[in-house]
Amino acid sequence: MRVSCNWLSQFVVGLPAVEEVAARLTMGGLEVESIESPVLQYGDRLVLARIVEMGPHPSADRLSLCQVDDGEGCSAIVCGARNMKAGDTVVLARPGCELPGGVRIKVAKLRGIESRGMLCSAAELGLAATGDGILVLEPGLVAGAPAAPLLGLDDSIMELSITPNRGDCLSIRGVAREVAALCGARLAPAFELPLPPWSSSRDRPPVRIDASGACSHYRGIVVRGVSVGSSPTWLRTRLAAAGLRPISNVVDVTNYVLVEAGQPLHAFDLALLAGPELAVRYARSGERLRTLDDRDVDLDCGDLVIADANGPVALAGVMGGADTAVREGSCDIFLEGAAFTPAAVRRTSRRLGILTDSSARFERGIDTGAVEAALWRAARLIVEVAGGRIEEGFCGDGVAPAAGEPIVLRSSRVEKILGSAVPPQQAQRILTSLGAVAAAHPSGLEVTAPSHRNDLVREIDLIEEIARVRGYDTFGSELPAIRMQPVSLSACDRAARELRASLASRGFYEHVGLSFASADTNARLRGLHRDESECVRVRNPLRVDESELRRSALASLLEAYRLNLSVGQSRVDLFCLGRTFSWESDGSTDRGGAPAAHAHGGRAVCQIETLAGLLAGPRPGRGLGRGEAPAFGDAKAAVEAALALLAPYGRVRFVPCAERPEYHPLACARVLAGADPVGYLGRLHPVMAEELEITEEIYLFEVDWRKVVEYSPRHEGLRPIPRYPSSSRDVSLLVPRRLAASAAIEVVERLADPCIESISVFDEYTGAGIDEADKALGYTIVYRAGDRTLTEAEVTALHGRVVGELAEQLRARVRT
Amino acid sequence: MAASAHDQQLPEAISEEALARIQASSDSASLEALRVEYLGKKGRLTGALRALGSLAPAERPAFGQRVNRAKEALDAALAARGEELRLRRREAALEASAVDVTLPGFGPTPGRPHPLSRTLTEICDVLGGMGFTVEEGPEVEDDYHNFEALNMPADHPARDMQDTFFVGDDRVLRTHTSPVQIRVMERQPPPLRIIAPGAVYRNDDDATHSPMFHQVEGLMVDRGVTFAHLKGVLTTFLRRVFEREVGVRLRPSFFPFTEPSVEVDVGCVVCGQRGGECRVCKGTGWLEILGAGMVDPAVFAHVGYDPEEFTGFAFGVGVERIAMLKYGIDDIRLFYGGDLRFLRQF
Ligand SMILES: [Zn+2]
Repeated sequence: MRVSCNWLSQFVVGLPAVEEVAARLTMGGLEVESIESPVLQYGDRLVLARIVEMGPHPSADRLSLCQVDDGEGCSAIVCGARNMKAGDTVVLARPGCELPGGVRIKVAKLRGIESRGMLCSAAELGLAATGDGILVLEPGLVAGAPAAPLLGLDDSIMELSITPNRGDCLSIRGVAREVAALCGARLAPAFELPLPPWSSSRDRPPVRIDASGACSHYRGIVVRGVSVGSSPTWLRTRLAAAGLRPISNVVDVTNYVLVEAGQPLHAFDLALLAGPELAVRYARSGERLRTLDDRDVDLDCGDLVIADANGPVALAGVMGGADTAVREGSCDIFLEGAAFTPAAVRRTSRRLGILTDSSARFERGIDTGAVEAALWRAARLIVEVAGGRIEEGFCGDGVAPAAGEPIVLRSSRVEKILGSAVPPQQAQRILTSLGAVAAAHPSGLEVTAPSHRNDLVREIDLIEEIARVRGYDTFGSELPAIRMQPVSLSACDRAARELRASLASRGFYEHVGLSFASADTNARLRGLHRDESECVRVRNPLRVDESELRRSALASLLEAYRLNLSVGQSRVDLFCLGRTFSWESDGSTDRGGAPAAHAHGGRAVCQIETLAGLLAGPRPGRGLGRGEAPAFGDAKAAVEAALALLAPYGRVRFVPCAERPEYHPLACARVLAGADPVGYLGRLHPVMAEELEITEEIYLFEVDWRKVVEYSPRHEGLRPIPRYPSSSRDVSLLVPRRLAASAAIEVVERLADPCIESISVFDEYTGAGIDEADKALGYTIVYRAGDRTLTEAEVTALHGRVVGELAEQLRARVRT
Repeated sequence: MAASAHDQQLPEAISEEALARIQASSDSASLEALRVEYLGKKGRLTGALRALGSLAPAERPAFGQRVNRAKEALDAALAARGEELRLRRREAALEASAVDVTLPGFGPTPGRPHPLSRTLTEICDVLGGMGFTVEEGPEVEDDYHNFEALNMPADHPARDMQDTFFVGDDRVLRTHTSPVQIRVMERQPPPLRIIAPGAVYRNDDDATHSPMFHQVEGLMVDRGVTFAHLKGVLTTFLRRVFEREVGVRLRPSFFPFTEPSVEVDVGCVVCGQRGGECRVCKGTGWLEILGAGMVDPAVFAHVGYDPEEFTGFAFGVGVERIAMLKYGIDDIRLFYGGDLRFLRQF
């Protein structure tokens, strides 16, 4: 909302300087975003002047010579333009006057004739971007009067950001009320005009409201014999200050009153309305209207319209129709002022995508008590600027809503909310300054809100007003004395911190990617969601490639990888923590403890907290120099270390997994926490790498880490420290190349011999001396008994049995 | 020959020669050989003592003393040289095992958490220290929790303030973390002190707005919670987060779910509130940093709390906004690109 200080000063007696007004408004909740202040002070160096005589310059064809009356006498001015004539009122810059752009006027001799000043064009005054020809104003202005106020050149404009609850401040009058209340200034009376009586003249359309739920009252007034033309300078200046374009004197007046009073009005050409009456009603299906901006709109039965005998003539509160609008040549006009409900206007405005100054005000609620005053003000102004006469009295239907029930404001409640008492007299003074009526009440005050403040309906609304006007800085500040409750970091919050710390210590940087993905990416990377589950589509995406919510966090890691590669980074180890999404396939909420699915009607969305990572580029070797490309083991080590923090007493396992399209079928593991699958880890599938034009060998992982936290078993209690020594034996097995090393471990574990303490792999070997289809695996097995020292013979016998089992069950040969 | 043999027998002469050889010896083996040669059972000095018998008895004591002095001198010299060699050996061993401690350590150089995580952790730690516990909620929200229960019924003009992404008839990407307030109040009675960090979404995109960004929501509800507590908690919070005594001012504002509503500004941390040409605060000296307010009674009504008995305040703070100010980041999109040249700086 642009607010002219010149305009404001019409309503606030002794308006303080603009900086102070802006500061008070900002600290009162009407944020002033910027102030445009005049750069130049013109004073009497820029005045209105009348051309007394005009003729050609005696020695220059292209120049003219004017005798100009500037109120103090006549002087000769040489001018390059010829668009003016004797009798015109123009703007004279006297010697010493500085104009925008740094031009300083001096007495100058032009082809032998002394010129004492300059006649200005609109462009020279900064009022227009371009244009030749000097500015010619309407007749009737006083020569010698300062020109700056009339042209708004001395005006400061504040740009206000108005919150949605303050529709009343979408007007100069409303802002003036606030300024008066916040600065302690006096509010000048608005329009001290006695309102005309009702009339039932037969030659103007009677009005009927058929949709009383959408319009409380509708008023019309007729002005006959107007001459539609352009507006006088003062009016054009005011509209320009408000950021509106002048159209014609009649329309300009309706806009002027809209800005000044916040009441949207509409002017119909009375001759173009088809009798016998106007109706405020909902549109009928099939009806159409050509709007003022020349759009043909199809109406539906939820659109509130004004209709004459032929059908709709205006979209109520949104925009008038083109066919019945005031135009050049209109003589009699019917001026509309009404109170349409916010919901009715909002619906049509949204549906048709037509946002206007009128709809913006109706949507937030207008002052229903001031419709007639605004209409009357406009009618009078029309007569002033366009001539004609007002036909006696309003016509219309409905009545303005009665004032709301008085609100009881308890002093105790004020203190309970604000933390300190506000004396009732002070509260009363504040509320009165806002236009409310506040009377004493046993528990405080009884307050009736003014009709322009439709946001004041509850006690709490009044408390906010008191706090706001008194100033938030006048209230105390203290830390609460709390009832103590045990506070602990939530398990998940702690886990997230540990994941970050663990991966960072292994050289990973954290990446934060947006949750959006293209449909194509989602088809490729299915993430941890059930394969059959549907992707979540965004109905109004910002970009085509952000049309869905991501199923997998890998895409944004791959994107970051490519970016880093392109700017010359070689080692790119990244991880991210964030959610991935899909529709629950059956509407159930079986995603465990994840905050995922919240059924509130309709299907649920599965929102998995995902840990994802990517490894690319040379590992640092031992010592200096570039190491080698990452290996599966690098990725596995990172995941193992991270998950070990989440489930310190649990067991995370990795089993071969060949069915994920994004991973290499023979270099991918499914991650299990206990028995639960929680994620995947592996090399990017070479086919997908080729599609993505990635030539390096890179590794990826994706884990539903919340599942690991949920699984995390408790500590089982301390096992006694062994009292007897252990013996260990190594065995080397020749097995088929594709046999998993874990197979031997499983065999030994199945033996469940109490004297076998552990088995671990210490070597994998392929190459010289071994058949190409085979590999050698070396294991260390530790033997120990809990109640005695095992003898050499016992260990040898036991080890022999273990090796025998391994050989038999795995069809392995023992290497010696 | 006899004379020279006699000369050789002179203990001083033997000792002098031995001392020179001891000084010249370079390892413990040769030192030991010298000890045997001169002081061993068949050693030359020992031999000199044996020659005592051939001397006149009157000369014997004096000669014996001379031999003993020579022996003592050799013993001492052997010990000193031995010690010297041991120290030199130790020195050499240390020298041989020297390393360049300025070379990088083995294994990866550590990475870093994201600046947003870092900032979020700081925020949560400050508030955690004031007794707020972390809660969370879904990012795909239903209309009820994102709007209606927060006092924004359908057609409420305030809905226009939040450019919403829709994903279903009743599903939106949450436009703020405030719905978590409702979810927590729905399932537990007061008193409450909670914070809810997380991603939120707005259909908006430029240098200071991203379609996805992060907020921390805070809520305190109990008997006797007032506006003064809101001021106290938020002032303390902001001063801790910015690690200095920043100025804090509260301006009236509007949020449908709080009343009175507050916009909180901090003194510009970039220009130190001098204003002037500062681009960050546009010369005002103040930066909008968070929105807050006393919980609107209508919100309590939605979750079944008695607004006469309980009062509370809520606030929401943008994590990106704080991180941008703390680290001087001027383009929000830097957070989401994964550019290591950016990430390494935190
Ligand atoms: Zn600044």
